[in-house]
Amino acid sequence: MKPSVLLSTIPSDSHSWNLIFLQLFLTERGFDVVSLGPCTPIALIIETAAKRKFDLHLVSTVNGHGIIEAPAIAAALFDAGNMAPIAIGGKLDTGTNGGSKQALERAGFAGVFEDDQANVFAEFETFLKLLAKPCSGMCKTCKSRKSNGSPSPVLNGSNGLRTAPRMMSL
Amino acid sequence: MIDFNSYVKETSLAHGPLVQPRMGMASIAQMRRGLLQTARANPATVCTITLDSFTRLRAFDKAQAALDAGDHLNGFPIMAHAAEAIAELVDTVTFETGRPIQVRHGSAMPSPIFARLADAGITATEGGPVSYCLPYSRQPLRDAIDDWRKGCAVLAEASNHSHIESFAGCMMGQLADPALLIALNILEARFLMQSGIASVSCSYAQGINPRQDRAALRALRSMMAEYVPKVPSHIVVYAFMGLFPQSLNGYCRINHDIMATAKSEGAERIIVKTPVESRRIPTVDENIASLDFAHFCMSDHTLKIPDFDDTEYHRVHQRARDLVEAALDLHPDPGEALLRAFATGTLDVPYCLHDANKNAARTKIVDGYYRHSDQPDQTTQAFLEAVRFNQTQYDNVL
Repeated sequence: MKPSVLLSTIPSDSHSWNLIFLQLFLTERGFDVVSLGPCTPIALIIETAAKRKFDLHLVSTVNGHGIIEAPAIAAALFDAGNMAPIAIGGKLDTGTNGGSKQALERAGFAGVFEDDQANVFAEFETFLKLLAKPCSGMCKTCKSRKSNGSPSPVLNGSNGLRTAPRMMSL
Repeated sequence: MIDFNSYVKETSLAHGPLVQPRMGMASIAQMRRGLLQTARANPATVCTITLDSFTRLRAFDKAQAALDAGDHLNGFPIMAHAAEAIAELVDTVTFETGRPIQVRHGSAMPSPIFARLADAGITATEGGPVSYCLPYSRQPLRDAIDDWRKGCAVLAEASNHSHIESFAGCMMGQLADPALLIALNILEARFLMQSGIASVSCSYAQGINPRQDRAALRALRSMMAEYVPKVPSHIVVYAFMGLFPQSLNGYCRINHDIMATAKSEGAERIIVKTPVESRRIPTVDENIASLDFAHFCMSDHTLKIPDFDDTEYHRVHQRARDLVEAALDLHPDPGEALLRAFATGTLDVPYCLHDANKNAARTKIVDGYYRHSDQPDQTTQAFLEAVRFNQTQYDNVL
């Protein structure tokens, strides 16, 4: 059975080519993709995730508001009991100060892929390949949670996909 | 109040196509600085206030919260600032520079925003019930049409100089047959006219070939003369809005082509892009430099003017007429005609994910031109090559 991805954007983002492109990109790499379209209401993400188990939640956003709105998506998915990894990519902040990657990782995103970094798609492909591997406890998220004293991640024994830890808020 | 259409027509006669940025910042002070810098950059500039994404989607409380928290908003939160403060901002720019301001908003349900524009003395804006609903929102098309009618009435009442630009030339930003873009422009322009707007402009976004674009601009002008004759109007051209070249060389080359095309067909106004477009939102300085560069290119006489493709002109013109006539046959009211045209698939925008759009139509690249197609994409590889076409042809040249 193919690994599955629930693809969405943030509520304020009306762009759709990034979603069309990613749907194709993921389909070519053997994923079954459900794409929720532009201006995705958070309630729709939760409702869809409740009806079917996904192996990855992916948020793609290019309007610069990712840093403002995406943490609420991660929080809502965790509150709903979601255990699959959540990743985000695109143009995540309008400022050029940086720091959005750390903030989004703290919010619970296991992978953060900012467009202005060279080779961002190569990094994303590496991340997708790692999804299929058992968790080694060596990724940033696990390490940062270990240092926070948070519980270890749970391995999904049936297909080896790593499940996301529940982030303890600071 | 400046008559936007008259200003654009008269000034472009003297200075060539006018150049305009996308620009929106959170605070009044920042916006004022950006507007004044734009106005003073060169004789051909037009000023823009771009609204933030929260405001566009009527999440006014989120826009207010972001403003109050000092978050990086991606535009100007026009509903979060006092109407008087915005009116004062507009008056300052008008009085000190004489340059017009257009508000760019991308909203499918703009009536509260248009009421604010009326209060602030802003008469020029853009969009359309289809062009800002289908690509950019989840609102039902009927709701967008109703709200646009309402918003237009407010603007029309507030001044004699109301101006709305149809954004239909930019549907999806890439991979659209020019004939479809022209047909949507015409139908939206008729809708705006019927809703009481005093002057209109029609838009056209750069495609993948300057000869096709030049033929399409000529066809757009012909269609405007035939279908929107009674309202003063002009044409606005957009630098490519799809997957944008990443190198500086690519930027200069793609820019050259659209400047040459716009100048060759007498387009009165151009929305300019910056070299950083593929990576992030530009700074004001980057915007100003790009406006100056565009104005310089078009003032200079070394642009390579594209050939006029008469066959393509006739093809585009004919197909655009067929689409417009097929839609108007469905109902005499332009709003109702648009609704029914999308419901029946008479109008179908390739790759547009909105529920109201059939999304069965496709666009292929044939001999370097966009062509309408009814066949599904052959492979994802072919689709990706089409999406990346301008990056490939403009970036990878020695």
